[in-house]
Amino acid sequence: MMKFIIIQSAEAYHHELEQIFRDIHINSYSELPVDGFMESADGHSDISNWFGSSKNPYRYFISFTFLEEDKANELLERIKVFNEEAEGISPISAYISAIEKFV
Amino acid sequence: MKTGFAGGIARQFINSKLTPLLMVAFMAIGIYSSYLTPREEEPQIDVPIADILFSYPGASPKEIESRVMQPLEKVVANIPGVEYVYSTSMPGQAMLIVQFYVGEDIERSLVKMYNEIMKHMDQMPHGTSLPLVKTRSIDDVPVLGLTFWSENYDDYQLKRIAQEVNNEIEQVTDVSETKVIGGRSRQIRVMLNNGAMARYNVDALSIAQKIQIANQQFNTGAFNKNDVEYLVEAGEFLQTSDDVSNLVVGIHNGSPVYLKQVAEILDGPEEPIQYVNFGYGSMDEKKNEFAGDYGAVTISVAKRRGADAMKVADQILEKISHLEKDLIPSDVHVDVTRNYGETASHKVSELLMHLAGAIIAVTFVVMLAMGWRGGLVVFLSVPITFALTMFSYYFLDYTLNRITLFALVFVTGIVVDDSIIIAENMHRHFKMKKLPFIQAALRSIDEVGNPTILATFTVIAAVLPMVFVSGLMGPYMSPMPIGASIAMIFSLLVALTITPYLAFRLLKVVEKDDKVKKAFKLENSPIYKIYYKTMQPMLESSWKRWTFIGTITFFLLASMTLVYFKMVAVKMLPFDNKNEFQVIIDMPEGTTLERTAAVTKELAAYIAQQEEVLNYQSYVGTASPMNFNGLVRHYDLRRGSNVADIQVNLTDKTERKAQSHDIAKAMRPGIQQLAKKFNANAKVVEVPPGPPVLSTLVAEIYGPDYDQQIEVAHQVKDLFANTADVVDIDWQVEDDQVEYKFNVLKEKAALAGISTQQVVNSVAMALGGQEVTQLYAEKEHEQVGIALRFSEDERSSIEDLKKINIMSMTGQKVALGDVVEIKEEIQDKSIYRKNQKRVVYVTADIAGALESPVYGILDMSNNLDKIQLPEGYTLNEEFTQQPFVQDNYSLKWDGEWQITYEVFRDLGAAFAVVLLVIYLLIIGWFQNFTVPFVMMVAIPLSLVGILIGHWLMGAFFTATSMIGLIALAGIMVRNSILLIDFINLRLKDGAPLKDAVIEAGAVRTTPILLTAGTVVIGAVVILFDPIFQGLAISLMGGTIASTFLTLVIVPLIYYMTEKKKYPVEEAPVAETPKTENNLSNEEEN
Repeated sequence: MMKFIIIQSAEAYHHELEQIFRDIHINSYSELPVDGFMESADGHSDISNWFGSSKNPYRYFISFTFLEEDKANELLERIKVFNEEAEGISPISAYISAIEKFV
Repeated sequence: MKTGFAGGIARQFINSKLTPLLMVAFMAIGIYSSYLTPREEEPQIDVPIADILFSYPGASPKEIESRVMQPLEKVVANIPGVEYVYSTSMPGQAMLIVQFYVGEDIERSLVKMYNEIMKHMDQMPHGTSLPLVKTRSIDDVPVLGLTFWSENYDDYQLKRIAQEVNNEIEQVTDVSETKVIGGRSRQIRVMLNNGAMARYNVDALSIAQKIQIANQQFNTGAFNKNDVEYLVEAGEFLQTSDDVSNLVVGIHNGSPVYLKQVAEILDGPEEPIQYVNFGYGSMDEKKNEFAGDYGAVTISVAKRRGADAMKVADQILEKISHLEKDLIPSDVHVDVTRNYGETASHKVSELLMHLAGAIIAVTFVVMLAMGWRGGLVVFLSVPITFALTMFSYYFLDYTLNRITLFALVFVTGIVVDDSIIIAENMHRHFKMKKLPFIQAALRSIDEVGNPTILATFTVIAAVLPMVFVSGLMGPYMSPMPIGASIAMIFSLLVALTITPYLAFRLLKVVEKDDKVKKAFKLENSPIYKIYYKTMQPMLESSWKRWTFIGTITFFLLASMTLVYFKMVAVKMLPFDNKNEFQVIIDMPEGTTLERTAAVTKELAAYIAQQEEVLNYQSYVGTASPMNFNGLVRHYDLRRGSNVADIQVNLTDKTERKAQSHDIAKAMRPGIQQLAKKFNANAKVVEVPPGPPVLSTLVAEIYGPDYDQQIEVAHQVKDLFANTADVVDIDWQVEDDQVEYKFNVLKEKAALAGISTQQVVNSVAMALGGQEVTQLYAEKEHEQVGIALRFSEDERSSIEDLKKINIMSMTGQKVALGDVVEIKEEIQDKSIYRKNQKRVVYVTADIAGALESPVYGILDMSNNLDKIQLPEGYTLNEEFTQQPFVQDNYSLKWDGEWQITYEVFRDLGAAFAVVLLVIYLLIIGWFQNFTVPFVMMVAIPLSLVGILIGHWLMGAFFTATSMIGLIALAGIMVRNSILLIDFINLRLKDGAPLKDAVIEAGAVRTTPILLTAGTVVIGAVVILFDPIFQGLAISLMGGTIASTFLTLVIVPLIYYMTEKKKYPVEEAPVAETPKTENNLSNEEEN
């Protein structure tokens, strides 16, 4: 069964994600840079900004690819392992969604 | 990763292995540059000055003025780049001083000037000598003075030793010019005996001729014989004094007349024309052993341009200690009476210590606010900034002097800012833990990159216009803005490259227990509470608001009255603490050398007894080695039997409490009282802290008639004397000196067969002691002259002179008295001109509580109407320029006042430019025409602190204070930007205006206080430097006052200007913060 995989990750993890793809032999995937906005998640973070004035977007990228279901699950598993190692800072999110029809 | 400009730069360095290597490399080249850069005390001043000396024997000052000086002045004044042309026309000679604008190329200017003068030499009257052009620059000031003195050797022998030593000194690299001052040279003195000459029927002129003719020897040619060439040399030089005494000067009754028969021949020291003495002062323990006043000889050594004075001095002293083993006898003492190398080196080391102190103090402040890791980041980045600045000093050909180094001390508090901003923001982002560290770091740098760059350029904009301070103060001022700007640029680069590297490593591990900590609530912070309580009433009530603004305005105006009421005195620069001063002694014209020497000895003995005096050297009839002051005052050209000066060396400034200025001030009344007893004019002259001027206080009197000008000047001089705090009064009009004129009676002389030339030469020989020829002495340093002169007892009165015999063409003896008519006259006075206008100078110095010439001038200005003038004339007063026309009398104030005026004028202009540039920068940033005004309100507020600070410290408001005021403008505007920026940020988020204003104050108070803290603490280290005290007080007082006032008044005014744009939110907002605040208080309870 073909699945659509969407992965959202901080730019800094680009290299690591690439490594994961290579490890489980995912040979084709696409990438888009994404500017993310988050209105002060904890409510006060930006207020304590001493000097800054401009609000810069959080820079993410989105990778997507089409995989067999078991391969998709394997990828998700690897990302989960990675996130645990990364001490909870900006974890990589990955989504699997079904493909209803394609030609 | 995609990044902005700042982040892009940081990304290259944040993880690069090169960064630590670069840090080490930068430090290394910085330290090496500071070692290579020559050290000196005073900054290099490129001001081409040339003295042009003419002689025009026999001409009166008036004739010289109209024939030589006026045409020449016109020629010289037309040369581009010439600022001042001073001329002095004296009887028989003239001097023209040409001063170019500061910074003009020395070689090019002088070549131009030489060229112009030479081109016009054909217009000079017949009988004028060729001009002798002597150029002078700061490098002519000797850096080392060695005084040789002895109990057993006289000055004649000392001079011979000194000349030998001098020979050795000149071999040292980087030594440019040396001078041996004092001592008598060897001379063969032929003392003619009038009676004997009459007996043997010879006269002085014929003897002179005989001696000249006898002193010849040269290669006359060769002849050949038997195929060999033989050389022939004929004649024989006079080689010893015996040769001279055995000369045959005539034939009398068939037997030869030897020179020794008609004259006494003395081989030895010449007759004294100067006395140089050395003595110890009360502070030197050697005073007990050597209590007296000893004949001495001084060697002064100047260094080559750009050489390090310390190194040159060390090498010479090493050489001297070596020479003491053989060349210098053990009972000849060599005292170092001047060593500018050492003082420069001390000054530089002291300043480098100050710099280190400032860095440590600032680090400490940063640590308080950001923890030790943040402090460490700053502590490591600032030295690199300074190392790079040192490197650029080396490249810009700057020397390490007190100005270039002070530029660094002064910006220490400011350069840390860039690093603080970057480090703090990275730290904050690391704490948020929203992104991986590396990405958080770059994002945080991007976030503050632009504000950092803007802040840096605001500060540069504030200091850089000071480069344009012109005139003599320019070289003193310009290294400040340039050095500070370079340091600011480097601090920006360091903040974008090295600080991220350090912060990334040092700051990211902290605060692991973030989650445990209670969530930060702004409203709970003490700063918010204080700020809220201060601001809230004023935001609510327009009455309170206006009261506050009114109070501040009142304080501002009140502090300004401190200047008006002379509680804060304005002065260009206060005196530095030096190890020397000078006493200049002028006896009335016509005083003998011996009399002047006796008076000088009295004064020297008095000085030697005073506290803190280490030793002194007195120079009678000549001048002490030139110092910085003398460069402009031309003290080194003082010659004559009525002048003297005493160079006084004090104990080292580290070993005494009193400042040199206070010592000099305390000594002045005693010295002058003593001098008055001997009818002498004694001036106590200190090394000026800034550019040298003719005198602290100078009144130039211009007018249509020179005699009347002198009369007016006389009254001005009396006015000076009656004004409090005006001391050392003098003028450049000579006292009357009797002059006898020997007019040749043409008919009588013709009948007796005597020419006017014979008369002139005879008198000249009788009195002046003409050097007729030189001895051929191979081993002497100087040529040994053979001087013909009548013995002292035969030339001491008019009657003696009348008896001089002159041989007529027929061989008859004619007494001089028979062919001349003698008239008693007063010698013509010299005529002084400045920029082609006749002028009479009255000079004085200022002492007392208000040491600034400004107040003396104001006092005297009020009394100028008491001066009597010829009918129909008035006395105009000029402050800034020479009078345009001279059909009326005018008084132009000059001296330190002129420089003070120029400096404060230029600094004022610089300040105006600063304000304009800052205005433009803010418009560029905020795209708003009115916001800049709100931000710039902070600038005048610094005056409150500055003036009150000066008042409390009892300090002068000096040019350095003004620099502080201007530089603060940048810092204060930067603070305003931080505040208003945040208000705008919150407004954009939709916060109500009042909330936004209070939050802005609460959040941005810490960084503003941090900046203020670093500036204040950085300035503490220079608070006790006599010269830069004003700068320190400005920075500290201005920062403290304007920081606190800015925090309140800028948001307040911004609120007032903006509130009309946000009318709707007003009503509901008033309650919200209050309740929130109460709630939070309850929670805590």
